[in-house]
Amino acid sequence: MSQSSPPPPTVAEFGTSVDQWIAENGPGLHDTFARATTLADEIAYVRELFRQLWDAGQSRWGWPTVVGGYGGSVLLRAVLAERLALSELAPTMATMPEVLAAPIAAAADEELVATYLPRYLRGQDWWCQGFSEPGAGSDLAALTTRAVRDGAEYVINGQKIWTTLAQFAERCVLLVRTGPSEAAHRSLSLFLVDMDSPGITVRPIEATTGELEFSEVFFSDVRVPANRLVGAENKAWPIVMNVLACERATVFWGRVAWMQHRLTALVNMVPQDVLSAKAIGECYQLIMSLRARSRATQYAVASGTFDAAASSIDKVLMATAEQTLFDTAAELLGEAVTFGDEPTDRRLRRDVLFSRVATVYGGTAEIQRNIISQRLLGMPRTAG
Amino acid sequence: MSILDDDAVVDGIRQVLQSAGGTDATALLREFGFVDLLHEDRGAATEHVFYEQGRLGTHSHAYTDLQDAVLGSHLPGVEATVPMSLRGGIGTPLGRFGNGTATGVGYTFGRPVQLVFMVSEGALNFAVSVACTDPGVTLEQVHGVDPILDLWKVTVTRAPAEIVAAADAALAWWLDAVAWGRLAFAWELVGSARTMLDQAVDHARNRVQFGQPIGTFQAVQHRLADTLVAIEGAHAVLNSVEQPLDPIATATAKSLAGRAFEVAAKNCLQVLGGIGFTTEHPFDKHLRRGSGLNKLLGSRSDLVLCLGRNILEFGSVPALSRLG
Repeated sequence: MSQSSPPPPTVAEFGTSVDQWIAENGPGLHDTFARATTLADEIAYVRELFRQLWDAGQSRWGWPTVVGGYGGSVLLRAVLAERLALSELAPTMATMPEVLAAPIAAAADEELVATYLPRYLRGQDWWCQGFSEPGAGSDLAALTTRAVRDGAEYVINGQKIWTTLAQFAERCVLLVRTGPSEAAHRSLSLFLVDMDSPGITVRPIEATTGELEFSEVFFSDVRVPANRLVGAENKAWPIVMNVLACERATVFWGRVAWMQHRLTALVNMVPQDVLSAKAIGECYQLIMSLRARSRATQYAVASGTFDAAASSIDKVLMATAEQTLFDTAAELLGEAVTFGDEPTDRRLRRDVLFSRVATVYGGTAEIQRNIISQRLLGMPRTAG
Repeated sequence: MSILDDDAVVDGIRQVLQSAGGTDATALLREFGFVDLLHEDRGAATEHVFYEQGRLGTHSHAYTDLQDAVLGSHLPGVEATVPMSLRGGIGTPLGRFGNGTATGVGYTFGRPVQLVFMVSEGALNFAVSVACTDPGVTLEQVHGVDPILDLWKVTVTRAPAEIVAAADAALAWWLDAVAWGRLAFAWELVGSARTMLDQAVDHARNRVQFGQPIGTFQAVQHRLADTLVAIEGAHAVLNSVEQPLDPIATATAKSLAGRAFEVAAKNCLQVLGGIGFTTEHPFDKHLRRGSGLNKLLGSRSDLVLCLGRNILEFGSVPALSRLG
């Protein structure tokens, strides 16, 4: 029956426990993180971070027992995300399991979940998300990568793009078409694919930031066992919607904390004048409105009343706050951001550049506003 | 368990304000028991009365009753009107004190008889009471953008001032008075912004041009979406304000509420088009009311500057909204 795990801590107790863990283990981890110069280094660091957090039990709270968690409120995961962000121990990529793990754990059969989820959460496996295609971005349901049943396997052909960190992944959460194209979102299936399967080619793309953030992934007659199907055939769309919504749930609580942290850093770099005061005040109020909204969302997730359409509001608040923050940095620290080559300059420049696509990834600003006006304000559907 | 957890009470507030129509709802609110509600649960009473007032675009002197309650809890026995500054600032006195006289400028709802406000003499703070009958006090009725507000501009020039509190006690009251004032206006601004959005949404659904409701056009949809985002962000901050009131939290709340109003005013008027720009449409009174409330106790931009200065001075970012 139930395992003998201790009762879940309160949010306050857990915060204290995490702070303590960070105080003890942070310095060692910081040293490793500081030596990470390439993306490969960063992934290796994150795997180590995950291993330590999992083995210490800190990252097991808030996850169901079927994935190796200790149970307890999902708020505990939000607390951990926040503390890691504030302590600068977790690069952005460390939030990815929050996006993929929960929806897959909820939709896949127990054997698949028990085999692969603990490995992911513990950092042994890295996962990537194979959704978008060259011809299917905002219109995801138009995707054409196809999986055809052949005996006990499916054979997959097609191509994905913008697959974040695919070059380091052991598994891919792959969205494919298994039914007639005319059925659009009703003929899509989700598979958990091994990235070392014959026929998979990963071609990293150099982003404007200069990093190989995402890749094209080509599938040429890739054979996947039928038991790697997540949920039922042709029924992937609700899972996909869940994944997209998860991008705006627990993840955001950590991201808000990260933005506060970056704002604090900015405050200590800018000139002490009225221009700075106005800009900093503007950033502050936007970040606080996002924080208050995300806080309400965390409670909605914890109580099972999370509304995916309403989370589009969180997404717009997030992108606006992020762009305002880094517009401010670019404005007030123009020389450093544009021409500086010190590590702090390059880091700031990277954040400024990356903030340009905050309104593109995870659902464009236009799509969010369509959702808000059509699903929340009752406006009629438009052509797009 | 607050009496204001009862939906019936909240509905009652709404009905009272609605029944007042376009007239001053102050007497009706008092009959309903607003002053008792302020003592029972000041936060909830403020939220519900001012939010509904904003939604309906009605007016009352509920603000005066609120300030009386705040005054009563800090400086019992002092009965006077608390003038409002138009500036940002946290803990900023309304004027100066010296040789037993006060000098300063503020605004009140209704013609005041006696004033109480905070002044400073060097680094010392005093809460002082000034009689409006004194020749050093000039009272000027203000029409401005929204005559219904019944605003009076009060100019005090070296008028005799009685000290009613000093130092920490004076500052504690003044911070609380401004915080509650900003909170009340923030609720009213968000309520008003929501009604402006309702008006624009209704219009977008019904106004047909080029053979379809204008709400089918993405440009129109996105203006409405941006408005909802601004309102929800401000409303979320209001919902997270805890007691005792923190001056940074209430300054942030009013700043965001002012921003929600500005975004709503701009986008909703754009969607309404010409008809939104006449006094015959209810949008007009919301635009005027919100413009006034935005400026009292510091507009969005005044408060943004104030918050930014505060952050730069202390070198740290105050975190509002915790989990747990």
